[in-house]
Amino acid sequence: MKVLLADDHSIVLDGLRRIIEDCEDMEVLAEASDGTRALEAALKTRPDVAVIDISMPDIDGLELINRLLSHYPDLPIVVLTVHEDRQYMYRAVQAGAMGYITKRSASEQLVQALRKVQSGKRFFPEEVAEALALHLSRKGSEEDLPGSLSMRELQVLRQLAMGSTNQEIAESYNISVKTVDTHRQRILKKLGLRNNADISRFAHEHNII
Amino acid sequence: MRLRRILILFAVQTVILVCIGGYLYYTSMKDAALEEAERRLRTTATNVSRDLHRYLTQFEQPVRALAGMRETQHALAGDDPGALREANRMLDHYTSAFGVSVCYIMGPSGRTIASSNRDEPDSFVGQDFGFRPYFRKAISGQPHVYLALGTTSEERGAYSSHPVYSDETGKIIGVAVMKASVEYVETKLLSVDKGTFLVRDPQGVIFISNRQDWLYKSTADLTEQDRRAIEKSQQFGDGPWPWIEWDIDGNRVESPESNIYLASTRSLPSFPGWELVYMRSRQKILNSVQQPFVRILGPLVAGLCILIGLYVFFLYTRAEQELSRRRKAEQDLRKSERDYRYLYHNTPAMLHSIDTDYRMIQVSDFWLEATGYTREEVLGRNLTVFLTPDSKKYAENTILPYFFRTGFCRDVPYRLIKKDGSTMDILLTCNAILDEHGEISRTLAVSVDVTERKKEQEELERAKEKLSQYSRQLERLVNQRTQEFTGILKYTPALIYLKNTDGTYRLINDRFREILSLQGQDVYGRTDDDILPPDFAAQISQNDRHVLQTHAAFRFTERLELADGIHVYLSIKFPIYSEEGQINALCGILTDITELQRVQNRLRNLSRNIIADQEREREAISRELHDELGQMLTALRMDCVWLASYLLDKEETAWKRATTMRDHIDKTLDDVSRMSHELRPGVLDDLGLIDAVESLISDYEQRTEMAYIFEHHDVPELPKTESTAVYRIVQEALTNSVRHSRATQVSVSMHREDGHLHVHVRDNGLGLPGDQEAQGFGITGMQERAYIVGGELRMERAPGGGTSVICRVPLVEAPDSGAHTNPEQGERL
Repeated sequence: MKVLLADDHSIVLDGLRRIIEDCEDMEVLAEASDGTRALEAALKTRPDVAVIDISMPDIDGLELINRLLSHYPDLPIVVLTVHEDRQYMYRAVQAGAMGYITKRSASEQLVQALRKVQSGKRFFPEEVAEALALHLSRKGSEEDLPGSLSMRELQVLRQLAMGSTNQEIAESYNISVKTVDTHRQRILKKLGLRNNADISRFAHEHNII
Repeated sequence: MRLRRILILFAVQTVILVCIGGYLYYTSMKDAALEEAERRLRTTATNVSRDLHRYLTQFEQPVRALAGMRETQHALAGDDPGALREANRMLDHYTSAFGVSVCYIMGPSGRTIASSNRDEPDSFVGQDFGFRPYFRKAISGQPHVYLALGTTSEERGAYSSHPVYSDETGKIIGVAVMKASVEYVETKLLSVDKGTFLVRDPQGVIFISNRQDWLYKSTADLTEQDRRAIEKSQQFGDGPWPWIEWDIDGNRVESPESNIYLASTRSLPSFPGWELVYMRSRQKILNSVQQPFVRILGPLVAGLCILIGLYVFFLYTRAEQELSRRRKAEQDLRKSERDYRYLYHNTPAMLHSIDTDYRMIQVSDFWLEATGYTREEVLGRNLTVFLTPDSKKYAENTILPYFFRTGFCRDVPYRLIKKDGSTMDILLTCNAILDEHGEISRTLAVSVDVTERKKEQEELERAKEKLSQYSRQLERLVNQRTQEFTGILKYTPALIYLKNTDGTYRLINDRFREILSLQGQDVYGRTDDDILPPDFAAQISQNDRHVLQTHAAFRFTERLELADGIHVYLSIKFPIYSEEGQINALCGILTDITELQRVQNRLRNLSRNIIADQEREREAISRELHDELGQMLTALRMDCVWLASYLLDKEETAWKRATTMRDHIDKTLDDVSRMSHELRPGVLDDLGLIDAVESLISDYEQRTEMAYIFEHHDVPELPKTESTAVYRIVQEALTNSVRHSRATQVSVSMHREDGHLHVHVRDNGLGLPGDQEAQGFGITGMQERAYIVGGELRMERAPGGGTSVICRVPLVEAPDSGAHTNPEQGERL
């Protein structure tokens, strides 16, 4: 597997290369310290996978994704970021990235992510997967009913649709049972639903699960 | 009533008098009428007796002619039938020619030989009338007229006889007779007058009368002897010639029915002892007088009575009117007298009267009440007794002489001594009352107690004095204030003007004059266009109009270009009201804020720069932390992980150290990341405001139990300063909601409108606390943030509870002057 690495921090690049080269079936085809070079290298070397830092001087990561995909629509791209902020992930996914990992978890997840995206699947860390799904479903229906729910309400709705009890939801989001119930009541009112079965059907209809 | 009775009495008297007069007149009329009647009776009797005599004796001549006729002699001469025939023819002729009953000739024996009625049944021929006196007289040579009833013809007649003399012998050979009927007398002569006629022979037998029942009756009771004599004479038939039972004697006759008749008796000359009696009923005469009298006088009297009645009625009504008028006048007089007396005593004015000796002769109750005297104490005493010595002198020397000269005085100031010894100031007005000679007999004086009034007047004077003092003081105060204000106007750096509502100036202060280079000029009545530069005039005029139209005070920003550049003025303009509440002037105070604004702008820029620098600094540090330290730590971690995996199974102690090191690095990375984020969220710089706010809200969602809704629409990319400001404002607002509101829901909305970004953060919590606590809500900080980017922010109670933070940030760079106020519209104060 030929990998293109783009990161403006050489020290990080070193680390990443080492991780990749530890795998026998992977090689770092090219390294770039900024977006422009990364694009040039990609055009020259035709990598199998591109690993891109989302914040880089000159062309930033999101722009670089756009440009790479405009040349190679099928190029799997894994976005790498030092930011914990999920906004970056949402933007990267919207831009067309197939995978997303934070740099600090690169040692554990990079190889896994590379393999996954190379095989045509998406890779996201488990802890953000649900948030991403909910975010996307909300974005996809801005004028629609799910758009009227807050993020937390969407989470509660999804959990309820999957059959979780209030207690379980409270524990998983670290909030009180009473709050979960408040959310549930508001969801029912906002969406004009009556019970959990309605909620389940609504979630399926709107691809929230 | 009495009048009516008098008038009725008068009317009755008048009527009685009229009646008496009428009666007297009537009786005198009656006597006169009776006298006249008697006179006429006598005259008529005379006339009738003359006519009667003439009629009865008229045939004396014709019978003499008849006796003289040849035929008469011839007839008497022999038995010659021819001569007899001739004589008869002649007799016929005489009969018809003289209209007598019959003519006949008698022989010497008294036998009738020829007669005009020889062919009648009662023919005289052959009859012997030798017993008749008329024959005897005639045969003895005396013509005679004899009145008698015919023995053959049974007709009354007047027999005229004449002896027939023979021509040859001259002896009496016979008698010629003409008999005339006396009925003619009754029908013609005696019917000429109303009344009763009768002709009687010397015995009283009535031979002719217009009363047929009296014929052949007697006016005297005949004796048997008389009766026989008459019977023998055959003059009046066979009798018995009864008495008519009337005593016809003298000129007054009474009928058996006691009716009185007036009578007149005349003897007939040719018939000795025969009399004509003419009688008229006295009653009839009286009637003939009475009737016309009643006919004429009756209506006259009645009319007179009616006239009198009407006149009396007229008089009565006139008198009644007059009386009622008098009564009314009398009543009025009494009433006015009563009123006068009532007024005199009850009018709340002091009235009194004095006579020419100044003695009090009348005084009103009120006068007594006011002075305290009793009427007995006052009446009869001299007026001057009741006056103080001064007033007394004044009265005696001046007023009283003057008054008795002119009869009038007015508002004489006297001072009276009251019963209790105190004095009373009065004003006396007096009129003289004149007697019938036009001399002053007494007075009528009205006095007004002016003690109180005088006191009040004095008090009024004092009050006036006080008032004038006060007003002088006020004037002084006003002057002082005016001085002060003039000073203020003169030395204030502000421009001040006062304008009329029509836009003309009343005054401007010295500073204004100086600016406009109008020193020493009067601006009164001039307009904006007269004294101001055109641009400035337009602004001032427009803003002043606005103030006058809205009746409110306003604050404007006005610009005036002067030699040293444009000056900005903060203008306070307000209407000035008159006492009636009408706007009568407008005042403007213009403060030059050019410098202030310059400083303000500089200050704002400074703040902006400081904050921008601060943000830049934070961003730099944040980036440094992230990009350098963070990357470094990341790389270090990778190495550490690699090292750990390398040492695994080889060197357990070293592996453990390596994993511990990795954990430290992780923790350090967490710290770095948090610090960096807190200093300045990288997402704001990397992804922009919306992502930063999303991230912020996501973060809050994780940390709190509230529901967050973020809506945004058409939000453009903002410059860094603006997006930072908005981000910080939202962050502060959310912090407030979490900390203070106990809200369960927060919504954040952003949208673009009118070239501004509108940000609205609203929760459903407890709402805004009091003003002072609100300061602790970071509102000052938020406003500062907004102010720096030229925006504005306010915090208010949201409808339905909770708190709203509403912020507006201009999307284009605001001009330097952009302050709170819109210079075009002004701000209402």
